Amino acid sequence: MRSLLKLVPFVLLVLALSACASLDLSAGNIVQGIQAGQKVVEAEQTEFTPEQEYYIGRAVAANILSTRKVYDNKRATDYLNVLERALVIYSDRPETFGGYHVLIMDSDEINAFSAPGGLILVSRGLLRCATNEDTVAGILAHETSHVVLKHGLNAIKEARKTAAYRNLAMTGVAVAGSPELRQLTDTFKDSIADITNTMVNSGYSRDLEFQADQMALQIMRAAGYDPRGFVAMLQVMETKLKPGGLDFAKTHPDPKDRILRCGKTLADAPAVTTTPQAQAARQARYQAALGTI
Amino acid sequence: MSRMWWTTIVCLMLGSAAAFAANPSQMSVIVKQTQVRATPSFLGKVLGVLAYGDKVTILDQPAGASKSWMKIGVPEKNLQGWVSASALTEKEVKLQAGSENVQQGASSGEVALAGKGFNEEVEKQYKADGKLDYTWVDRMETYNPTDSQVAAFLKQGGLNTSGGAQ
Repeated sequence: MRSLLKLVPFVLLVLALSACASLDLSAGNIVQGIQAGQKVVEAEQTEFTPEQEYYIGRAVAANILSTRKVYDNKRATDYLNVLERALVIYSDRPETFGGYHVLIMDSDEINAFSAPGGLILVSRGLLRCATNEDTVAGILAHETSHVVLKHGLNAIKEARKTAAYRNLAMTGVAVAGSPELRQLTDTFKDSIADITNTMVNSGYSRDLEFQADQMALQIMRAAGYDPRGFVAMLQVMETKLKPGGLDFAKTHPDPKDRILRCGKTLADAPAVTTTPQAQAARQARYQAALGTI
Repeated sequence: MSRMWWTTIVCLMLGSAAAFAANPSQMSVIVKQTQVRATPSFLGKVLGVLAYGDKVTILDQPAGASKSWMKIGVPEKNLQGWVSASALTEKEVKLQAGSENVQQGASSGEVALAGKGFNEEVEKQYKADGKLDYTWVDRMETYNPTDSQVAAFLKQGGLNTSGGAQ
C-alpha cells in the first residue's frame, strides 16, 4: 500500500505536465517562472484596470470641480445624459467601470474635460457654441472619444506609469494606516496631477485632438446624427474663442485646422438624412433643455 | 513533503490559472455591473444583472470582426443572454483577495485583482490629504438614464434605434 502511495505524486505530476503541455507550457518554463516570481509579477500589469481608471477619473473630476462651479440645472443635465447614452452605445467602448456621466460647469469659458472612465464636464460657454441637437452631439461625441481612446490615462508621465504599475503589482490590498496605502496614495496623487495639468494647462497633443475629432464623426454617424453638426459647432467656436484665453484657445488646435481635417473626412462620406418631423423633434427638445444655456 | 509533491501541486495550480486565461469560453465581468440582455443590443430586454467579478461562460461569439457582443451563460443563475464585450475580460477577477492571495494570484501573470491598487481606501486617503469635495462627482454618477428613456429619445429624434446591435 505504501509503495502505491509513493506513486501518487508521480502520477499527478504526469497528469499536471500533460495538462500544461496542452497549454503550450513546458515544465522548464513553469519552474523558471516560479523562481523568477518577482519578474512575472512586475510584468503582470501593463495598464490600469477599469476599476483603477474609475478611481483616477473621480479624482480628476473632483480636482477640476474644486475650482469651478456646477450649473445645477436638472433638465439640462438630464438631457445631456440621455444624449450621451444615445451616443456611447454606438462607440467602441460602450461600458466603462462606472459608466459615462455628464455635468455642466457654470462658466462662460469654452471648455470641457473628459476624466478617465467617463466623467465628462462641459462648460456653459462651450454649450453656447451649439445651435441644435446635432451640434451638441458633436461636443459630447468628441469628449466621449477622449475616454474611449484613454487619452487621460495616457497623459500620466511614462516614468510615473512604470512606477505606478510596479506599485500596483507588488503591493497587497492596502488597508487604512498601512505604509502600502501611503505609497499608493502618493503614486495616485502624482498621476492625478499629471492628468489634470495636461487637461487644464497644456492640453493633449494636436494629433490626439484630431483623433478624437475623427472618432466623434464616426460615433455621430453610427448614432444617426449628421456629423456635419460637429463642423458647424467648430465654426461657431472659431468666432467665439478669444486669443490668449485660458480655455480651448490654449489647450486645443485652432478650430480652422480641425474644420479642415473633418471636412476632408466628410467630403467622401454619404450624407445622413433626417425627416423634417425628426429634425423638428430634436430641435424642440434641444430648445427646451439648452435654449437658454 | 517530497520535492515531487511540491512540484506537482505548483504545476496543478499554475495549470488551472493558465487554463482560465487561455480558455476563451470563460470570462469575468470587469465593470461595476452589467445587464444580460435577450438580444445583442443595449435596448434589448434585460434578463438579469451581473456584478463585478461574476464569471460567465461564452456560448457564442459573433463572426464579425467587431465582436462587440458575447452570448453568455451563468449556469448557477440559470441565466443565458447577451452581454457587451466591453464589460468582460478574459482575465479572472478575484474579489476581496487577501494579501497572500494577491501575491499568489499576481504571480500567475493571468489574474486581474479587484480592489487592489487604486481603490476606495486610496480615494479616502487622497480626499483627506487634499481636503477635496466629491459631492458633485457622486451626484453626477446618479444621472443614469433608463433604457426606455434612451429608446424613446432615439425614436423621437429619428436616430438609430438598433441600440448598438451587431
